[in-house]
Amino acid sequence: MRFYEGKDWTNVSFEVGRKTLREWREEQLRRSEEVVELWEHVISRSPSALGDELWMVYEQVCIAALDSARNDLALECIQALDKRFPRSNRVLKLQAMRLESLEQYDNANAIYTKLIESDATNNSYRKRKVSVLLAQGKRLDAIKELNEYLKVFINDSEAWIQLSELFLVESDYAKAAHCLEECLLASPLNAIYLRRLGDIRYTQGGLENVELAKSYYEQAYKLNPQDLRSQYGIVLCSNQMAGGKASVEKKQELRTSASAVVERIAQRYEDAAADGLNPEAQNIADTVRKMGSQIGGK
Amino acid sequence: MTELLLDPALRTWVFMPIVVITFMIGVLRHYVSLLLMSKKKIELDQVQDGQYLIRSRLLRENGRFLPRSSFQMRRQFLAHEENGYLSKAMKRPSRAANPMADPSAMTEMMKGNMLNMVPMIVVGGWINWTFSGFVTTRLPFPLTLRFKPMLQRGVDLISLDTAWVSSASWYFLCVFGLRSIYTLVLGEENAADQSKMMEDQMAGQAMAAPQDPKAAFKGEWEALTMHQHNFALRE
Repeated sequence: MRFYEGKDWTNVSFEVGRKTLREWREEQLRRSEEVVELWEHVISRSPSALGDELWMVYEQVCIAALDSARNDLALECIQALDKRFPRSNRVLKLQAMRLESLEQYDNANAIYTKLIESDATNNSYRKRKVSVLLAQGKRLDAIKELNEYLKVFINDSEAWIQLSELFLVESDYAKAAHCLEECLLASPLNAIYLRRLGDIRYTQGGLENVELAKSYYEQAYKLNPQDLRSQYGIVLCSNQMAGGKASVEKKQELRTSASAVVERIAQRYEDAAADGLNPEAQNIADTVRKMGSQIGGK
Repeated sequence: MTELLLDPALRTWVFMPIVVITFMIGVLRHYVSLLLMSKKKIELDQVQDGQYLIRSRLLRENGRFLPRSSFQMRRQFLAHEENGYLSKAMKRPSRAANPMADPSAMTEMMKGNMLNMVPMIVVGGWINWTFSGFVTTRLPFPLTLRFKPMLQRGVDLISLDTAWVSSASWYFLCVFGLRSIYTLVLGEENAADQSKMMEDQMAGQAMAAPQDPKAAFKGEWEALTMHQHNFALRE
Protein backbone atom coordinates (compact mmCIF):
# COMPACT_ATOMS: atom_id res chain seq x y z
CA MET A 1 0.00 0.00 0.00
CA ARG A 2 1.29 3.40 -0.86
CA PHE A 3 0.91 6.00 1.85
CA TYR A 4 1.29 9.66 1.20
CA GLU A 5 4.79 10.17 2.40
CA GLY A 6 4.82 13.44 4.23
CA LYS A 7 7.87 15.47 3.53
CA ASP A 8 10.05 16.12 6.52
CA TRP A 9 9.84 19.86 6.94
CA THR A 10 12.20 20.17 9.83
CA ASN A 11 15.37 20.26 7.80
CA VAL A 12 14.63 22.55 4.89
CA SER A 13 16.45 25.81 4.45
CA PHE A 14 15.00 29.15 5.47
CA GLU A 15 14.43 30.32 1.91
CA VAL A 16 12.64 27.14 0.91
CA GLY A 17 10.48 27.35 4.01
CA ARG A 18 9.59 30.95 3.40
CA LYS A 19 8.72 30.31 -0.23
CA THR A 20 6.59 27.28 0.66
CA LEU A 21 4.66 29.25 3.27
CA ARG A 22 4.02 31.99 0.76
CA GLU A 23 2.74 29.50 -1.83
CA TRP A 24 0.39 27.92 0.66
CA ARG A 25 -0.80 31.31 1.81
CA GLU A 26 -1.60 32.43 -1.73
CA GLU A 27 -3.35 29.23 -2.69
CA GLN A 28 -5.09 29.02 0.69
CA LEU A 29 -4.08 25.41 1.24
CA ARG A 30 -5.03 23.88 4.55
CA ARG A 31 -1.82 22.11 5.52
CA SER A 32 -1.91 23.16 9.11
CA GLU A 33 0.37 20.64 10.79
CA GLU A 34 3.06 21.20 8.20
CA VAL A 35 2.80 24.96 8.61
CA VAL A 36 3.27 24.59 12.35
CA GLU A 37 6.24 22.29 11.79
CA LEU A 38 7.81 24.70 9.31
CA TRP A 39 7.33 27.57 11.70
CA GLU A 40 8.75 25.89 14.74
CA HIS A 41 11.77 24.29 13.20
CA VAL A 42 12.72 26.60 10.40
CA ILE A 43 11.23 30.05 10.37
CA SER A 44 11.01 30.94 14.02
CA ARG A 45 14.78 30.76 14.35
CA SER A 46 15.13 34.07 12.58
CA PRO A 47 11.75 35.71 12.23
CA SER A 48 13.12 39.18 11.65
CA ALA A 49 14.63 38.02 8.37
CA LEU A 50 11.12 37.91 6.96
CA GLY A 51 10.74 41.66 7.13
CA ASP A 52 7.21 42.85 6.58
CA GLU A 53 6.07 39.41 5.56
CA LEU A 54 6.42 38.43 9.21
CA TRP A 55 2.95 39.63 10.15
CA MET A 56 1.21 37.67 7.42
CA VAL A 57 3.19 34.62 8.42
CA TYR A 58 2.13 35.14 12.03
CA GLU A 59 -1.49 35.19 10.93
CA GLN A 60 -1.01 32.06 8.83
CA VAL A 61 0.75 30.22 11.66
CA CYS A 62 -1.88 31.33 14.17
CA ILE A 63 -4.71 29.86 12.12
CA ALA A 64 -2.71 26.69 11.48
CA ALA A 65 -1.98 26.38 15.19
CA LEU A 66 -5.66 26.71 16.05
CA ASP A 67 -6.38 24.04 13.47
CA SER A 68 -3.81 21.68 15.01
CA ALA A 69 -4.95 22.33 18.59
CA ARG A 70 -1.75 24.15 19.46
CA ASN A 71 -3.29 26.85 21.60
CA ASP A 72 0.03 27.87 23.15
CA LEU A 73 1.51 28.70 19.76
CA ALA A 74 -1.67 30.51 18.73
CA LEU A 75 -1.53 32.66 21.83
CA GLU A 76 2.10 33.54 21.11
CA CYS A 77 1.26 34.64 17.59
CA ILE A 78 -1.72 36.69 18.71
CA GLN A 79 0.36 38.46 21.34
CA ALA A 80 3.04 39.34 18.82
CA LEU A 81 0.46 40.64 16.35
CA ASP A 82 -1.36 42.58 19.05
CA LYS A 83 1.82 44.32 20.12
CA ARG A 84 2.44 45.47 16.57
CA PHE A 85 -1.15 46.28 15.55
CA PRO A 86 -2.89 47.29 18.76
CA ARG A 87 -6.41 48.09 17.66
CA SER A 88 -6.75 45.91 14.62
CA ASN A 89 -9.93 44.13 13.57
CA ARG A 90 -7.95 41.33 11.97
CA VAL A 91 -6.18 40.56 15.27
CA LEU A 92 -9.50 40.75 17.08
CA LYS A 93 -10.87 38.13 14.71
CA LEU A 94 -7.94 35.84 15.51
CA GLN A 95 -8.61 36.30 19.21
CA ALA A 96 -12.22 35.37 18.69
CA MET A 97 -11.14 32.27 16.76
CA ARG A 98 -8.94 31.30 19.67
CA LEU A 99 -11.89 31.66 22.04
CA GLU A 100 -13.84 29.41 19.70
CA SER A 101 -11.19 26.73 19.94
CA LEU A 102 -11.33 27.01 23.73
CA GLU A 103 -15.10 26.46 23.44
CA GLN A 104 -15.96 29.86 24.91
CA TYR A 105 -18.63 30.33 22.30
CA ASP A 106 -20.56 33.18 23.93
CA ASN A 107 -17.50 35.38 24.22
CA ALA A 108 -16.49 34.58 20.68
CA ASN A 109 -19.97 35.41 19.43
CA ALA A 110 -19.92 38.73 21.27
CA ILE A 111 -16.67 39.68 19.57
CA TYR A 112 -18.00 38.67 16.15
CA THR A 113 -21.15 40.75 16.63
CA LYS A 114 -19.03 43.76 17.51
CA LEU A 115 -16.83 43.18 14.45
CA ILE A 116 -19.85 42.91 12.15
CA GLU A 117 -21.17 46.19 13.50
CA SER A 118 -17.92 47.95 12.87
CA ASP A 119 -17.49 46.59 9.34
CA ALA A 120 -20.69 45.37 7.80
CA THR A 121 -19.30 44.45 4.42
CA ASN A 122 -16.67 41.98 5.58
CA ASN A 123 -18.11 38.55 4.99
CA SER A 124 -15.62 36.52 7.01
CA TYR A 125 -17.05 37.63 10.39
CA ARG A 126 -20.49 36.37 9.49
CA LYS A 127 -19.07 33.09 8.29
CA ARG A 128 -17.24 32.61 11.58
CA LYS A 129 -20.53 33.09 13.41
CA VAL A 130 -21.95 30.25 11.37
CA SER A 131 -18.98 28.08 12.21
CA VAL A 132 -19.55 28.76 15.92
CA LEU A 133 -23.06 27.39 15.51
CA LEU A 134 -21.73 24.39 13.63
CA ALA A 135 -19.19 23.70 16.36
CA GLN A 136 -21.99 23.72 18.89
CA GLY A 137 -23.88 21.25 16.76
CA LYS A 138 -26.82 23.59 16.21
CA ARG A 139 -27.45 22.61 12.62
CA LEU A 140 -30.83 24.21 12.15
CA ASP A 141 -29.63 27.53 13.52
CA ALA A 142 -26.62 27.29 11.27
CA ILE A 143 -28.88 26.72 8.27
CA LYS A 144 -30.94 29.76 9.19
CA GLU A 145 -27.86 31.90 9.70
CA LEU A 146 -26.34 30.74 6.40
CA ASN A 147 -29.57 31.55 4.59
CA GLU A 148 -29.47 35.09 5.94
CA TYR A 149 -25.83 35.40 4.95
CA LEU A 150 -26.47 34.13 1.44
CA LYS A 151 -29.24 36.66 0.91
CA VAL A 152 -26.57 39.34 0.87
CA PHE A 153 -23.48 37.55 -0.38
CA ILE A 154 -25.21 35.47 -2.95
CA ASN A 155 -22.10 34.43 -4.86
CA ASP A 156 -20.13 32.78 -2.09
CA SER A 157 -19.57 29.21 -3.30
CA GLU A 158 -17.97 28.12 -0.04
CA ALA A 159 -21.13 29.04 1.84
CA TRP A 160 -23.37 27.28 -0.69
CA ILE A 161 -21.35 24.08 -0.37
CA GLN A 162 -21.56 24.24 3.42
CA LEU A 163 -25.30 24.74 3.20
CA SER A 164 -25.71 21.82 0.84
CA GLU A 165 -23.75 19.57 3.19
CA LEU A 166 -25.99 20.63 6.07
CA PHE A 167 -29.05 19.79 4.01
CA LEU A 168 -27.59 16.42 3.11
CA VAL A 169 -27.13 15.62 6.79
CA GLU A 170 -30.79 16.51 7.27
CA SER A 171 -31.61 14.35 4.23
CA ASP A 172 -33.26 17.26 2.45
CA TYR A 173 -32.03 16.31 -1.01
CA ALA A 174 -34.01 18.80 -3.03
CA LYS A 175 -32.59 21.76 -1.17
CA ALA A 176 -29.09 20.29 -1.20
CA ALA A 177 -29.32 19.94 -4.98
CA HIS A 178 -30.51 23.55 -5.22
CA CYS A 179 -27.46 24.74 -3.28
CA LEU A 180 -25.07 22.76 -5.39
CA GLU A 181 -26.67 24.15 -8.53
CA GLU A 182 -25.83 27.62 -7.26
CA CYS A 183 -22.19 26.56 -6.97
CA LEU A 184 -22.40 25.10 -10.44
CA LEU A 185 -23.58 28.41 -11.84
CA ALA A 186 -20.44 30.02 -10.55
CA SER A 187 -18.05 27.36 -11.85
CA PRO A 188 -19.76 25.14 -14.41
CA LEU A 189 -16.66 23.20 -15.36
CA ASN A 190 -15.97 21.86 -11.92
CA ALA A 191 -16.24 18.09 -12.17
CA ILE A 192 -16.67 17.65 -8.43
CA TYR A 193 -19.85 19.74 -8.32
CA LEU A 194 -21.23 17.89 -11.31
CA ARG A 195 -20.54 14.51 -9.79
CA ARG A 196 -22.03 15.46 -6.45
CA LEU A 197 -25.11 16.78 -8.14
CA GLY A 198 -25.34 13.51 -9.99
CA ASP A 199 -25.08 11.65 -6.68
CA ILE A 200 -27.85 13.69 -5.12
CA ARG A 201 -30.15 13.37 -8.12
CA TYR A 202 -29.59 9.61 -8.25
CA THR A 203 -30.37 9.37 -4.55
CA GLN A 204 -33.57 11.30 -5.00
CA GLY A 205 -34.74 8.67 -7.42
CA GLY A 206 -37.49 8.83 -9.97
CA LEU A 207 -36.93 8.51 -13.69
CA GLU A 208 -36.42 12.19 -14.41
CA ASN A 209 -33.90 12.61 -11.64
CA VAL A 210 -31.99 9.54 -12.74
CA GLU A 211 -31.84 10.87 -16.29
CA LEU A 212 -30.56 14.18 -14.97
CA ALA A 213 -28.04 12.32 -12.85
CA LYS A 214 -26.81 10.43 -15.88
CA SER A 215 -26.25 13.62 -17.86
CA TYR A 216 -24.35 15.14 -14.95
CA TYR A 217 -22.21 12.04 -14.58
CA GLU A 218 -21.47 12.08 -18.28
CA GLN A 219 -20.40 15.68 -18.15
CA ALA A 220 -18.22 15.01 -15.12
CA TYR A 221 -16.68 12.04 -16.91
CA LYS A 222 -16.02 14.19 -19.97
CA LEU A 223 -14.24 16.77 -17.86
CA ASN A 224 -12.24 14.25 -15.86
CA PRO A 225 -11.83 10.88 -17.60
CA GLN A 226 -10.06 9.45 -14.57
CA ASP A 227 -13.04 9.81 -12.32
CA LEU A 228 -14.13 6.33 -11.33
CA ARG A 229 -17.17 7.44 -9.40
CA SER A 230 -18.76 9.18 -12.32
CA GLN A 231 -18.12 6.12 -14.47
CA TYR A 232 -19.87 3.96 -11.92
CA GLY A 233 -22.60 6.56 -11.82
CA ILE A 234 -23.17 6.26 -15.54
CA VAL A 235 -23.41 2.48 -15.31
CA LEU A 236 -25.82 2.54 -12.38
CA CYS A 237 -28.02 5.17 -13.98
CA SER A 238 -28.14 3.22 -17.21
CA ASN A 239 -29.12 0.19 -15.21
CA GLN A 240 -31.93 2.03 -13.47
CA MET A 241 -33.21 3.58 -16.63
CA ALA A 242 -33.19 0.29 -18.47
CA GLY A 243 -35.08 -1.59 -15.80
CA GLY A 244 -38.84 -1.47 -15.77
CA LYS A 245 -40.86 0.19 -18.47
CA ALA A 246 -38.24 1.23 -20.98
CA SER A 247 -38.72 0.15 -24.57
CA VAL A 248 -36.54 -2.51 -26.14
CA GLU A 249 -34.64 -0.12 -28.37
CA LYS A 250 -33.98 2.13 -25.43
CA LYS A 251 -32.62 -0.77 -23.43
CA GLN A 252 -30.36 -1.74 -26.25
CA GLU A 253 -29.14 1.79 -26.62
CA LEU A 254 -28.42 2.08 -22.93
CA ARG A 255 -26.57 -1.19 -22.91
CA THR A 256 -24.28 -0.18 -25.74
CA SER A 257 -23.56 3.26 -24.36
CA ALA A 258 -22.80 1.86 -20.96
CA SER A 259 -20.62 -0.92 -22.25
CA ALA A 260 -17.77 1.39 -23.17
CA VAL A 261 -17.73 2.78 -19.66
CA VAL A 262 -18.01 -0.69 -18.16
CA GLU A 263 -14.98 -1.71 -20.13
CA ARG A 264 -13.01 1.22 -18.77
CA ILE A 265 -13.91 0.40 -15.20
CA ALA A 266 -12.98 -3.21 -15.67
CA GLN A 267 -9.71 -2.18 -17.28
CA ARG A 268 -8.85 -0.01 -14.29
CA TYR A 269 -9.38 -2.90 -11.94
CA GLU A 270 -7.36 -5.20 -14.10
CA ASP A 271 -4.49 -2.74 -14.07
CA ALA A 272 -4.72 -2.66 -10.32
CA ALA A 273 -4.74 -6.43 -10.26
CA ALA A 274 -1.62 -6.48 -12.37
CA ASP A 275 0.10 -4.24 -9.82
CA GLY A 276 -0.79 -6.74 -7.18
CA LEU A 277 -2.26 -4.09 -4.93
CA ASN A 278 -5.74 -5.41 -4.51
CA PRO A 279 -6.27 -9.17 -4.46
CA GLU A 280 -9.95 -8.77 -5.19
CA ALA A 281 -9.42 -6.58 -8.22
CA GLN A 282 -9.83 -9.25 -10.84
CA ASN A 283 -13.08 -10.44 -9.28
CA ILE A 284 -14.40 -6.94 -9.21
CA ALA A 285 -13.52 -6.47 -12.86
CA ASP A 286 -15.42 -9.59 -13.80
CA THR A 287 -18.43 -8.56 -11.73
CA VAL A 288 -18.54 -5.18 -13.37
CA ARG A 289 -18.45 -6.76 -16.81
CA LYS A 290 -21.27 -9.06 -15.90
CA MET A 291 -23.29 -6.12 -14.59
CA GLY A 292 -22.71 -4.30 -17.84
CA SER A 293 -23.91 -7.14 -19.92
CA GLN A 294 -27.02 -7.44 -17.81
CA ILE A 295 -28.25 -3.90 -18.31
CA GLY A 296 -31.73 -4.06 -19.64
CA GLY A 297 -31.62 -7.80 -19.64
CA LYS A 298 -34.28 -10.04 -18.10
CA MET B 1 19.17 71.36 -38.34
CA THR B 2 21.24 73.65 -36.21
CA GLU B 3 23.76 71.98 -33.99
CA LEU B 4 24.02 73.84 -30.76
CA LEU B 5 26.60 73.01 -28.19
CA LEU B 6 25.15 73.33 -24.73
CA ASP B 7 27.21 74.15 -21.70
CA PRO B 8 27.90 70.96 -19.71
CA ALA B 9 27.22 72.96 -16.59
CA LEU B 10 23.62 72.97 -17.78
CA ARG B 11 23.54 69.25 -17.35
CA THR B 12 24.72 69.33 -13.77
CA TRP B 13 22.88 72.34 -12.56
CA VAL B 14 19.62 72.28 -14.48
CA PHE B 15 18.86 68.92 -15.97
CA MET B 16 19.45 66.72 -12.95
CA PRO B 17 18.02 69.14 -10.37
CA ILE B 18 14.75 69.34 -12.24
CA VAL B 19 14.47 65.57 -12.30
CA VAL B 20 15.30 65.33 -8.61
CA ILE B 21 12.90 68.12 -7.68
CA THR B 22 10.06 66.55 -9.65
CA PHE B 23 10.67 63.20 -8.04
CA MET B 24 10.75 64.61 -4.53
CA ILE B 25 7.61 66.64 -5.07
CA GLY B 26 5.87 63.52 -6.30
CA VAL B 27 6.85 61.50 -3.25
CA LEU B 28 5.79 64.36 -1.00
CA ARG B 29 2.44 64.52 -2.75
CA HIS B 30 1.95 60.83 -2.19
CA TYR B 31 2.44 61.07 1.55
CA VAL B 32 0.34 64.19 1.90
CA SER B 33 -2.51 62.55 0.04
CA LEU B 34 -2.28 59.56 2.35
CA LEU B 35 -2.80 61.90 5.26
CA LEU B 36 -5.60 63.93 3.75
CA MET B 37 -7.70 61.49 1.77
CA SER B 38 -10.33 59.55 3.67
CA LYS B 39 -10.79 55.86 3.05
CA LYS B 40 -13.58 54.90 0.71
CA LYS B 41 -16.31 53.13 2.57
CA ILE B 42 -18.73 50.88 0.70
CA GLU B 43 -22.24 50.41 1.93
CA LEU B 44 -23.72 46.99 2.53
CA ASP B 45 -26.56 47.44 0.11
CA GLN B 46 -24.15 48.49 -2.61
CA VAL B 47 -22.30 45.24 -2.07
CA GLN B 48 -25.56 43.35 -2.17
CA ASP B 49 -26.61 45.04 -5.40
CA GLY B 50 -23.30 44.28 -7.01
CA GLN B 51 -23.56 40.64 -5.98
CA TYR B 52 -27.04 40.27 -7.43
CA LEU B 53 -25.93 41.79 -10.71
CA ILE B 54 -23.08 39.29 -10.90
CA ARG B 55 -25.54 36.51 -10.06
CA SER B 56 -27.87 37.47 -12.84
CA ARG B 57 -25.01 37.52 -15.30
CA LEU B 58 -23.79 34.09 -14.16
CA LEU B 59 -27.29 32.74 -14.47
CA ARG B 60 -27.44 33.86 -18.06
CA GLU B 61 -23.99 32.60 -18.96
CA ASN B 62 -24.03 29.23 -17.20
CA GLY B 63 -27.73 28.53 -16.87
CA ARG B 64 -27.51 25.95 -19.57
CA PHE B 65 -26.03 23.53 -17.07
CA LEU B 66 -29.15 23.57 -14.97
CA PRO B 67 -32.34 21.70 -15.74
CA ARG B 68 -35.20 23.78 -17.02
CA SER B 69 -37.17 23.90 -13.79
CA SER B 70 -34.18 25.10 -11.76
CA PHE B 71 -33.39 27.77 -14.27
CA GLN B 72 -36.97 28.99 -14.39
CA MET B 73 -37.14 29.11 -10.62
CA ARG B 74 -34.05 31.28 -10.45
CA ARG B 75 -35.18 33.47 -13.26
CA GLN B 76 -38.47 34.05 -11.47
CA PHE B 77 -36.64 34.87 -8.28
CA LEU B 78 -34.62 37.54 -9.98
CA ALA B 79 -36.81 38.93 -12.70
CA HIS B 80 -40.41 38.33 -11.64
CA GLU B 81 -42.76 41.22 -12.33
CA GLU B 82 -43.70 42.04 -8.77
CA ASN B 83 -41.31 40.29 -6.48
CA GLY B 84 -38.16 39.74 -8.45
CA TYR B 85 -35.05 41.30 -6.97
CA LEU B 86 -34.05 42.98 -10.20
CA SER B 87 -37.55 44.30 -10.80
CA LYS B 88 -37.69 45.81 -7.35
CA ALA B 89 -34.25 47.32 -7.78
CA MET B 90 -35.22 48.85 -11.09
CA LYS B 91 -38.18 50.61 -9.61
CA ARG B 92 -36.25 52.22 -6.80
CA PRO B 93 -36.49 56.01 -6.82
CA SER B 94 -33.43 57.37 -8.54
CA ARG B 95 -31.00 59.06 -6.26
CA ALA B 96 -29.18 62.32 -6.93
CA ALA B 97 -28.22 62.19 -10.52
CA ASN B 98 -25.07 64.23 -10.48
CA PRO B 99 -22.08 64.64 -8.18
CA MET B 100 -23.00 68.25 -7.46
CA ALA B 101 -25.83 67.19 -5.24
CA ASP B 102 -23.72 64.70 -3.31
CA PRO B 103 -21.53 66.70 -0.94
CA SER B 104 -19.13 64.05 0.25
CA ALA B 105 -18.19 62.90 -3.24
CA MET B 106 -17.75 66.52 -4.19
CA THR B 107 -15.22 67.26 -1.45
CA GLU B 108 -13.28 64.14 -2.39
CA MET B 109 -13.01 65.32 -5.97
CA MET B 110 -12.04 68.82 -4.88
CA LYS B 111 -9.33 67.53 -2.60
CA GLY B 112 -7.97 65.31 -5.32
CA ASN B 113 -7.90 68.10 -7.85
CA MET B 114 -6.30 70.55 -5.46
CA LEU B 115 -3.66 68.10 -4.46
CA ASN B 116 -2.62 67.55 -8.04
CA MET B 117 -3.05 70.85 -9.77
CA VAL B 118 -1.69 73.25 -7.18
CA PRO B 119 1.79 71.76 -6.73
CA MET B 120 2.17 71.32 -10.45
CA ILE B 121 1.34 74.93 -11.18
CA VAL B 122 3.40 76.29 -8.32
CA VAL B 123 6.50 74.24 -9.06
CA GLY B 124 6.15 74.74 -12.78
CA GLY B 125 6.01 78.49 -12.32
CA TRP B 126 8.99 78.47 -9.98
CA ILE B 127 11.08 76.43 -12.35
CA ASN B 128 10.12 78.70 -15.18
CA TRP B 129 11.22 81.71 -13.19
CA THR B 130 14.44 80.18 -11.88
CA PHE B 131 15.73 78.40 -14.94
CA SER B 132 14.77 80.92 -17.60
CA GLY B 133 16.57 82.43 -20.48
CA PHE B 134 18.23 79.34 -21.90
CA VAL B 135 17.41 76.12 -23.65
CA THR B 136 17.86 72.96 -21.68
CA THR B 137 17.52 70.09 -24.05
CA ARG B 138 16.55 69.06 -27.54
CA LEU B 139 13.54 66.96 -28.36
CA PRO B 140 14.31 64.14 -30.77
CA PHE B 141 11.34 64.79 -33.02
CA PRO B 142 10.62 67.85 -35.15
CA LEU B 143 7.77 70.20 -34.27
CA THR B 144 6.00 73.05 -35.99
CA LEU B 145 6.55 76.67 -35.17
CA ARG B 146 3.25 76.84 -33.31
CA PHE B 147 4.81 75.16 -30.30
CA LYS B 148 7.58 77.70 -30.00
CA PRO B 149 6.07 80.12 -27.52
CA MET B 150 4.88 77.21 -25.39
CA LEU B 151 8.10 75.26 -25.26
CA GLN B 152 10.64 78.02 -25.44
CA ARG B 153 9.55 80.43 -22.78
CA GLY B 154 12.02 83.18 -22.15
CA VAL B 155 14.11 82.48 -25.23
CA ASP B 156 12.98 84.85 -27.95
CA LEU B 157 14.99 83.66 -30.90
CA ILE B 158 12.99 83.51 -34.07
CA SER B 159 15.40 81.30 -35.92
CA LEU B 160 15.87 78.73 -33.21
CA ASP B 161 14.55 75.28 -33.99
CA THR B 162 11.45 74.28 -32.08
CA ALA B 163 13.11 71.09 -31.01
CA TRP B 164 15.21 73.02 -28.51
CA VAL B 165 13.08 73.42 -25.42
CA SER B 166 13.35 75.29 -22.18
CA SER B 167 13.41 73.91 -18.68
CA ALA B 168 9.65 74.26 -18.08
CA SER B 169 8.89 71.73 -20.78
CA TRP B 170 11.56 69.44 -19.39
CA TYR B 171 9.76 69.68 -16.06
CA PHE B 172 6.46 68.64 -17.61
CA LEU B 173 8.19 65.79 -19.39
CA CYS B 174 9.55 64.62 -16.05
CA VAL B 175 6.16 64.75 -14.36
CA PHE B 176 4.71 62.28 -16.83
CA GLY B 177 7.84 60.27 -17.36
CA LEU B 178 8.55 59.54 -13.72
CA ARG B 179 5.26 57.70 -13.33
CA SER B 180 6.81 54.27 -13.66
CA ILE B 181 9.57 55.18 -11.23
CA TYR B 182 6.90 56.03 -8.68
CA THR B 183 5.38 52.61 -9.18
CA LEU B 184 8.78 51.06 -8.57
CA VAL B 185 9.48 53.06 -5.43
CA LEU B 186 6.13 53.56 -3.83
CA GLY B 187 4.39 50.38 -4.84
CA GLU B 188 1.28 50.01 -6.95
CA GLU B 189 -1.25 52.33 -5.37
CA ASN B 190 0.55 55.60 -5.18
CA ALA B 191 -1.14 58.95 -5.21
CA ALA B 192 1.75 60.66 -6.94
CA ASP B 193 0.60 59.05 -10.14
CA GLN B 194 -1.18 61.95 -11.69
CA SER B 195 -2.32 60.58 -15.00
CA LYS B 196 -3.83 57.57 -13.27
CA MET B 197 -5.73 60.01 -11.09
CA MET B 198 -7.11 61.57 -14.24
CA GLU B 199 -8.15 58.18 -15.59
CA ASP B 200 -9.75 57.41 -12.24
CA GLN B 201 -11.76 60.60 -12.37
CA MET B 202 -13.17 59.72 -15.75
CA ALA B 203 -13.94 56.15 -14.74
CA GLY B 204 -15.47 57.39 -11.48
CA GLN B 205 -17.92 59.55 -13.35
CA ALA B 206 -18.92 56.60 -15.48
CA MET B 207 -19.34 54.09 -12.65
CA ALA B 208 -20.32 55.73 -9.40
CA ALA B 209 -22.98 57.90 -10.99
CA PRO B 210 -25.97 56.92 -8.83
CA GLN B 211 -28.23 56.79 -11.81
CA ASP B 212 -26.16 53.90 -13.06
CA PRO B 213 -27.22 51.02 -10.75
CA LYS B 214 -30.78 51.50 -11.89
CA ALA B 215 -29.74 51.32 -15.53
CA ALA B 216 -27.55 48.30 -14.81
CA PHE B 217 -30.45 46.51 -13.16
CA LYS B 218 -32.73 47.36 -16.06
CA GLY B 219 -30.20 46.00 -18.51
CA GLU B 220 -29.79 42.76 -16.61
CA TRP B 221 -33.54 42.37 -16.20
CA GLU B 222 -34.13 42.69 -19.91
CA ALA B 223 -31.31 40.34 -20.80
CA LEU B 224 -32.49 37.74 -18.31
CA THR B 225 -36.11 37.92 -19.40
CA MET B 226 -35.17 37.43 -23.00
CA HIS B 227 -32.75 34.61 -22.42
CA GLN B 228 -33.60 31.26 -23.98
CA HIS B 229 -32.78 28.26 -21.87
CA ASN B 230 -31.35 25.09 -23.42
CA PHE B 231 -30.28 22.34 -21.16
CA ALA B 232 -26.87 21.74 -22.60
CA LEU B 233 -26.21 18.39 -21.00
CA ARG B 234 -29.03 16.57 -22.68
CA GLU B 235 -27.80 15.20 -25.94
